[in-house]
Amino acid sequence: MVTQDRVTAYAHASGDHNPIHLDEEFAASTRFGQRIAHGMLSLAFVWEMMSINYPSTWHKGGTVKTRFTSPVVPGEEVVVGGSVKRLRTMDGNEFVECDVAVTRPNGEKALTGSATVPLE
Amino acid sequence: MDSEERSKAMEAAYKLLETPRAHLRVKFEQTDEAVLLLYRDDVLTGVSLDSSGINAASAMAVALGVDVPPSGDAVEVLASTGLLYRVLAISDLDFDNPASFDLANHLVNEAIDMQRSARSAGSGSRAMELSDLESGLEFGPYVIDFSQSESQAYLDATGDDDTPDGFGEHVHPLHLDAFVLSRLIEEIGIVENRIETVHAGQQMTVHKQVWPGDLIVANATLKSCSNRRGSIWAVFETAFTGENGDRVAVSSSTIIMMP
Repeated sequence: MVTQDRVTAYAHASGDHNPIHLDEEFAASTRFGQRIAHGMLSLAFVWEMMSINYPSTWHKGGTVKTRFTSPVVPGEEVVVGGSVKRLRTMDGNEFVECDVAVTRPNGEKALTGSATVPLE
Repeated sequence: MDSEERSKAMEAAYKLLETPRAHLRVKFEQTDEAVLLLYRDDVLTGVSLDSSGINAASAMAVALGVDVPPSGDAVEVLASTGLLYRVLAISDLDFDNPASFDLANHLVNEAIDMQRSARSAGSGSRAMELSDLESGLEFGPYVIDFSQSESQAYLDATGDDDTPDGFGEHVHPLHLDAFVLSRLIEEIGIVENRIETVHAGQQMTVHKQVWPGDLIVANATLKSCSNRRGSIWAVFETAFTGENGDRVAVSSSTIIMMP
């Protein structure tokens, strides 16, 4: 669940005080019409998913490439998911490439992309 | 500390300084017998508390931009290898020889210039207009030195502290990236000028884990900047390096500004 409290806590912890995340009046004047969560917060959910699934290698060679395709609005419960797309070998090392996504309650993808992690 | 001990320490110190670095965290400490400069508990140099040594310690302090700490106390300083070269040279001067004062003065002035340029490079205080943005523009270096509580606050906010590998013990890699992003949007004036901005994409590769207290230096470059139907698309690439110059992570951030 992405709440405004969580967004505010994230802003303070990260130092990202972009008013689009915090200032209700300013956010109302933007194309989104309301405050939105930081994209990096959605990415953190993906990060957690990858570190749970690849605990020993994710933090030593993991790569994410993501696009933030739709804003998460505070109050929304998002679903974080991924699937293994393929195994590949690079410079003699094996990697798992996954598709990853964060989905909003209306079915829109808030984040799409890939995550590549070395195998042990 | 006698001259033989100092020579031995300085031999190791000069070896450490062979690799140029923008930021080394050193400790300037006064014990009962000497004023010491340490790096990770290794003495780089030191001066005794005799009249020559006290003069040297005072000049070293000015060069480092700090006061000589009281006896039994220490102060941490971030210094470049170039600045540390000057401090080591000052510590090796014999202040019983009057000519040493001129040489020390010269070294201190060089060190002060280095402190100034380091501050202006890392201050991030320049006001920037969006029209100033152009490919190749460099930002930083940003020195990142998260405490345990700062690291924990990030983990609490993301909820990412109960993973099997124990994130609670090391810094979340995205915290590094988020830190740089926050500095970039401040420098560009997004917060101050209330420019509607969205984060469009993010890439990151992690090479090493980072722990609270580790000193990380981030250098960002505006890789591309284009105007698309009135919006400015900017791609920043950031390299994160550890205190030893080792690569910690690299990232790329795409943001869209709609002035």
